[in-house]
Amino acid sequence: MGSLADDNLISEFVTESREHLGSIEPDLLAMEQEGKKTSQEVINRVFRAIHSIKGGAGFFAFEAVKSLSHIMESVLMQVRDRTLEVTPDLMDPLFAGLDRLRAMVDDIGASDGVSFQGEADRLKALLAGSGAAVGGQVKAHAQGQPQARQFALDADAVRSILKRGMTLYHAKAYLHRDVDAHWDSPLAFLNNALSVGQCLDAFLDLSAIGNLNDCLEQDLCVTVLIASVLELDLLAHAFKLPESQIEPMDMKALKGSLAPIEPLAPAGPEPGTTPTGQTVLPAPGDERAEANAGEGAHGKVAREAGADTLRVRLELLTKLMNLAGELVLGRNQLLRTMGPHAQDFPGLADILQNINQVTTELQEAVMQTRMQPIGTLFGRFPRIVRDMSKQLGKLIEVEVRGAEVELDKSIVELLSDPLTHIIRNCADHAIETPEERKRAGKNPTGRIVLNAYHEGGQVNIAVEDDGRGIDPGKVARKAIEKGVITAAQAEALSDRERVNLVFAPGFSMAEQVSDISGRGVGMDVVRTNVEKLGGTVNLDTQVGMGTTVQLRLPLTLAILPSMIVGLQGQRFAIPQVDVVELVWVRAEEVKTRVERVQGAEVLRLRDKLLPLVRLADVLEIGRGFTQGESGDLLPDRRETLVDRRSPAGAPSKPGVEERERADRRQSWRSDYHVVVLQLGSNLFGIIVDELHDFEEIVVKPVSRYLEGLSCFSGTTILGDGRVILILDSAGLAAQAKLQFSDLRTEERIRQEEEQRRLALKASHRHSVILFESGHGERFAVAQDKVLRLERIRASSIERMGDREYIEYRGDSLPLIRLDRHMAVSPLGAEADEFYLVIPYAEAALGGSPGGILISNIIDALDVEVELKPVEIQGPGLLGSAVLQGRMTLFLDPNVVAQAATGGKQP
Amino acid sequence: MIQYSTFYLGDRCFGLPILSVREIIRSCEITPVPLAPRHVRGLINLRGQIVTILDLAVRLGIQDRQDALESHVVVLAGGEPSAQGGPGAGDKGAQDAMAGFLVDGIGDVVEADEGRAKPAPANVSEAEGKLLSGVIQTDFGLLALLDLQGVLHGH
Repeated sequence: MGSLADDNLISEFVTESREHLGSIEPDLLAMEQEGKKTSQEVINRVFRAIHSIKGGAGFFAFEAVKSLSHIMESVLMQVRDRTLEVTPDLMDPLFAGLDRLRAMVDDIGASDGVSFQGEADRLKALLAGSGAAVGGQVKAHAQGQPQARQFALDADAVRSILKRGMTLYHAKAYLHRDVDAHWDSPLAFLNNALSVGQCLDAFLDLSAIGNLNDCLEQDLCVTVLIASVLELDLLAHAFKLPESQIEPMDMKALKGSLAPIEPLAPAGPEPGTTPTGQTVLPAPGDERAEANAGEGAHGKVAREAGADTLRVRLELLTKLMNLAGELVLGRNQLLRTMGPHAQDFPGLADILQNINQVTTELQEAVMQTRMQPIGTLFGRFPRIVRDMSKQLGKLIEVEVRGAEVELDKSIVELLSDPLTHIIRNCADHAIETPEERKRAGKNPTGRIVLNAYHEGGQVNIAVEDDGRGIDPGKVARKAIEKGVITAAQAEALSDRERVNLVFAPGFSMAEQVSDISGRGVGMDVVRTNVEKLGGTVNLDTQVGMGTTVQLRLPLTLAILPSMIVGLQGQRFAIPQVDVVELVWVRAEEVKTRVERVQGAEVLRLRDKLLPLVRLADVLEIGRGFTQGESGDLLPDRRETLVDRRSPAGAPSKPGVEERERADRRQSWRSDYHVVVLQLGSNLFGIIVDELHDFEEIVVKPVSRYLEGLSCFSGTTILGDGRVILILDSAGLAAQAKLQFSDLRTEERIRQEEEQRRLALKASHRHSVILFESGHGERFAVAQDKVLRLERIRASSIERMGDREYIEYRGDSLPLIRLDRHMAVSPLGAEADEFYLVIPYAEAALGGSPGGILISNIIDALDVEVELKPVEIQGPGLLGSAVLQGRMTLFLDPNVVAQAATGGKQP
Repeated sequence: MIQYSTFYLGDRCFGLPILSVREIIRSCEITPVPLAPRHVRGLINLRGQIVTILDLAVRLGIQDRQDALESHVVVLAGGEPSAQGGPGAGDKGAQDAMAGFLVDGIGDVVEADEGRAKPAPANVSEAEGKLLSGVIQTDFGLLALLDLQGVLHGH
């Protein structure tokens, strides 16, 4: 077959077919939704896509693909010509056919062996229902052909052509002369042909080689039988073929030959007659629509031919990206080396600046080439959800937002599995059945929203559903059942932590392992896969309301912003995404901030306890410290961080030792630099010697000779040419055998302590009444010592000797003036209103001892103060404090009253 | 008759077919890899490529050896396609993992007939014996031929 069997061409066909199949699916889904109201445009689109696949398959002689697509095409043709209606029963066989075609295209070499009988039968049944038979053949021959070649054509197709007033042409294209000369590839030629009309057949015409001329030229000829509304000259122009190579076929003869051969066809040679006997004339609108569609397609091809996209092998783009990364490093080195000398050479500064600029832009542009919109991934989910909802008897609607958000291609590919799992889980477990939903007062149709957006320099992908939410109690019980945790451990967990148990390995919510969401492959795999990409997964849920699964991912893989740390003179890189914060524990603070819990060292950081590991220990590099003044690196013989007093076997002379120890304690070099890393929802700190810059590094994989070293996730070359290793926080935690659960318990205990302490403190709060006496002097009395507050008129004060009384509840109440008993100012004489503070007295003492005269009541407050002793003397003076910015004397009113009245009642 | 690149560990002479050697360089700064097996000395930067340096002496079980003052690195050609470092390690899964041997001195290129190689003599340690494909008597002395695959990947 010569150049037709070229692998490149075949893979081009496969790629194009995949694209066609990809475009068909959403259209089929739309057809299912809209049913009879489906627009002609959608139907035409699907038809054309299948038509193209069929054409290409015929070209390359992939018989199975050709046959199956041919049957689908017939069905779609009926739909397009309005002899078949779009009903739900129509869609399932079409979807089945689509899936089978996909499978064939995916392994095109083996496609001929694939059985498609089931799908074919279902589709044929549809056609039988409409009264047309597939496979009916019509014989035709081209006019003016020396060999009078006969073709076998599909009757339905011929009928369709005739109905639309098209002419069938027999066009010959020579591979070398015509196709290669004017087109990029035979496929391009074919695609073009398919866009200007309907192709009934295409094949290599071996019989045409009988011609001596052809033999000499050794040029193979492809024959295309194409029906088009275009005139001969236009067609020749579109095909870029000489007019002599195109022959119109005898349409009248075709018409005539339709009737006798069709077994199920209605009697009568009328074109377009349906089995029911009605004559269906092609509606003018249809004809025009088809013609327009043909031209529209032609126009589309014309546009595409000039379109600004190009297919490039992924391998090449990856190479470009690597080279760009290296260039960035080289540029960094260049700037570092030449930067300081830039002024020594005229013009050098400008050159360096230019290279800098161009390199940055180049790198960004190259990164862009690999960016793919996430819509390519999201696009699969409506179909998956549709199939699942049918299978499960649920009603689910899918909404996709942010499909244009772009990610590096490899991330998109690697996200496919985790996202699919999440969506399946959603449809399977989260969304309730319509009845359940109705009972809960929800819309019977469940909703899944896929949302992609940029935030905080990362890409966020959220899958939100309005289903039943995740019940922490149920999850905890399941986890205990599966032996993931013990009942005791479950007790200690917060609701949020319980929900996060779904990420534990070995966990699966499926009651029975349903085929649908897989064999409990589980959220732990999802999380691991996402974390491998440098991302995070979070769950947010509300029982009865719904769940949101949120993924956060870095924008690109290859260049990683990292923190460079120093340890024992060596350097290591830590990916910035893992670093939560940096903590500098000063030498003096170490004793107080670092503790031991269950034998392991922890750092108290605000309200959390962080396990601490010394990187030097984990990596088994000798521990050392920098000698205070000399800056030498010496081995550290202390056993624990806080043990600063006895370096066992310290070198040097006794006197020097003392001094050294003291120096060391104070020197800033004995501070500890802790990098706080995050691992899922846990945090831990690693102690390093030095913190260096943040650098953007190009990640290279760990050499295979270092396989199995979980502490390192890659290697890189720094700007100065040194090779350093990239640390992996999960690996470090595992190597250090960190246990987080114990700490949780400890934290909880401490929290409870704190709460108790606060409660206790609260009881030391006083509720006081704040009042004013003479000259604005302020006093406060405890509220629970006050019986009543009364307002009296100066005129109602009665006098007896030097005592004052007032009638109060049928009794005489002695009045007390503070200034008579302590060194405070008297009340103003002009006031005609006063207030009384009547202390609460024990019943045993019989009634109130008296009322304290005051000028004004200011406020009632809760205060927590420490009373300071006062200088003035007086009964009942408890102390003073500053309240509301004023010096306030605290009184015990009872004591004052007792003192004033001498405890005697009148 | 094929050409062998020869080098010394102490006073022992070893050889590798010249086509399996990419280049020979003076030893440069080697980044040690914590927790690595003993025979992995570390990594170096060879014009932007990371090469894993293996200590041939450790591999061969040669005891009591100090690093020579001037060591060399024999960088091997090709290298196996590396195992995927995982997607987080960048999209360079297909990058070859380059390797090299740390040796003391470099000898001349020697032509020898591998057909004339004899099995290793009895006084060679067992570990070493397994990693040699034979010895050849040359004008310059006994040349031990390394079994490259065994040294790199065997245990």
